[in-house]
Amino acid sequence: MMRVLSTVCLWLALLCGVASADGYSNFNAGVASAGRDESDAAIKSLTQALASPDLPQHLQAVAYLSRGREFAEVHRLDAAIADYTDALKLKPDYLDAYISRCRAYAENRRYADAISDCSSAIRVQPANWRLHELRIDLYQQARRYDDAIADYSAFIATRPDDTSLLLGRANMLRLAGQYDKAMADAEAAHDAQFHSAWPYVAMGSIAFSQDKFDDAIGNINSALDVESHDSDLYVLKGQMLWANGRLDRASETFGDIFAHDGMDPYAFLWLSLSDAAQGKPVSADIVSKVEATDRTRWPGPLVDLYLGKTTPEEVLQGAAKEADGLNHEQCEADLYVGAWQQSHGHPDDATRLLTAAAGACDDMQKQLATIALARMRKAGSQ
Amino acid sequence: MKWLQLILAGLVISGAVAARADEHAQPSCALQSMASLDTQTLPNGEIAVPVTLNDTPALLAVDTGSIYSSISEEAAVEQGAHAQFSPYIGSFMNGVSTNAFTVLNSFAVGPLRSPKQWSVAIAPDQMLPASISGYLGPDVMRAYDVEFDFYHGKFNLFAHTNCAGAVYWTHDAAAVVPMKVADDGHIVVDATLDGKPVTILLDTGSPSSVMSVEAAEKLFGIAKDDQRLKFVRSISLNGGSDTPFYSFPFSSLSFGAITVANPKIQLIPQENFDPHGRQDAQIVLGMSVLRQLHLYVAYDQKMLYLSAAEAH
Repeated sequence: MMRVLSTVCLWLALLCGVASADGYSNFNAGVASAGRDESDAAIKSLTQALASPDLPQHLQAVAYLSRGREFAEVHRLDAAIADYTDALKLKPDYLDAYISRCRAYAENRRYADAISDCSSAIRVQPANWRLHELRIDLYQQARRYDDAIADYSAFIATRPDDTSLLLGRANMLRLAGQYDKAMADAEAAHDAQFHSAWPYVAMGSIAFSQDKFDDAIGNINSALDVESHDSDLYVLKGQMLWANGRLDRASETFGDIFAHDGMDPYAFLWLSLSDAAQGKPVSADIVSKVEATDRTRWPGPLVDLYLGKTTPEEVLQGAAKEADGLNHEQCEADLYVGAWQQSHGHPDDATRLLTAAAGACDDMQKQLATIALARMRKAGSQ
Repeated sequence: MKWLQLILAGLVISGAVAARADEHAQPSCALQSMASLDTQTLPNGEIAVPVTLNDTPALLAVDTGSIYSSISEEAAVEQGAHAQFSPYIGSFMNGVSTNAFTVLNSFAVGPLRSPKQWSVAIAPDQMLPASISGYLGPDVMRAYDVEFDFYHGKFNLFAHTNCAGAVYWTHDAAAVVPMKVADDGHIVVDATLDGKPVTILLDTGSPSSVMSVEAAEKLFGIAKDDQRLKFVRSISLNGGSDTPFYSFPFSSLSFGAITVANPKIQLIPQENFDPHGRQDAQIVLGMSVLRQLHLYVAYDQKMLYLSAAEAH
């Protein structure tokens, strides 16, 4: 039934035979439900809309797309992918459908399909950098660093003044193990943007990847001189100090975040590990601050574990349910639960999980897991 | 939810989009079509239309709730349009501000093309899906009469008419409602929500329709602990701070003879609605309700013609 009715209009409709438009009103109801995060209601309304013969043709593809997104919301990825495919059959250059299917494939870890769809989206809008960013993210997930570097290089040629592109390429070169080229890009970005913290972060990360911990920490200190309130930088520096075995300094650095009324869940996790390794508990003040935070979203379950409010099994099960191809819940669960097991005297579980993290994680988390494993082996052999 | 409130005087729009309505004025009362564009409906219910920016095809979402047309930061870079900055260009709902604008060499909406350079605001990328390059604002639209035919997927521009009776698409019930067109191009109309007079800002750039919790309390005596008030979700509105949305079962919203049953108008805190306490409208009516209507905005006449979306 039409949603917009006046008594006059209703009367006229009955007299004059105004066609009902169930397809249209169901479409609108579906979109409105989606906007209120009511996925089940949205799927129901959009299914009714798609089944209706009077859904206007121009809305059919978007109805499939919208229903697909709601299927994806409730983790029914195969149904979502089928809907995106139907949308693309109706509208072969449908950019949003390519992007959505690309993300769904990525969640299923079908990186080749995801990259293919992302490339199709780029063919529709070749100059759209946000699509290239998405593909680069997928290349990174798939560890196709050379392809990511090629994408960056193509854009750097057209936007030579954009230092964020140089830093992005530096990061990919670092991940590909091409440290000299990575450092050259980071230094070029530093020369172009002398007062920015981010080239220092890039240089620090490159040094860290080569286990040059002092250089790495020095660069992060330089970054902190510029961005003194960025808690992410404190976490990064603390992790580097932890990796370098300077646990007291690591604890101090993580603690600085809380001392300045900051709050970072990862800082709490690492502070807990650093303090535990020194045989001391995290201060009660910090614990009460952390307990007062909303821990419903990731990495909240990890924080709960470290607060003693949940079990490793629950965290791992939850992470497996939530994990998707573009995020890192599973990797983080393996790393942090593994480290927690190690600090709680369960070396077998710790070894199993940290080994999984060292295999599945990328970048710094992989390195931290590897260092934790090496420490365990060293401690075990003594 | 796009709602550009203020814009610095230094941002000078350099000329109306070419073939302005008044250049083609005709003595007869027949509506004179200037452009008829197919719309693309976005998954959130908003609509976008094809335009060209510096002769490059792009999609802009249509946003009666903004002031000036805008393009994303990324679209500006793609066009090689250098960003220029002012201390303050304007702010969108939820306090998300922009201080950047740029100048395009050309801007065209269908056959209507700017005679010279065109200035647009730069909207933060996080407000826009990757497929959309920006927003088409009242700076362009108000040079014409604008018809929104959501049911058929059409966005039509006509030469201004001062003749009464622009409802050409239906013999079904329709309403004619006087509207205020603010200096910034915002369209405000009077309506009746559950029997209470309310002022409404029409915002095609907002997927949802909202009023402030405080305004609802004042108008309807809805207490904060009212059982009918339900928390829906909290989202980062316009990429800004998290905003809690509440639903309330309103029964009807009437514009003259046209009534929308069970209008989905959500409530948000005043600080997110407008921290400075806006005076012009109590409700921002977005696409959750507007999609149920067929609208003809007669900017010069200051009249809003409307019918049910499916009326024919």
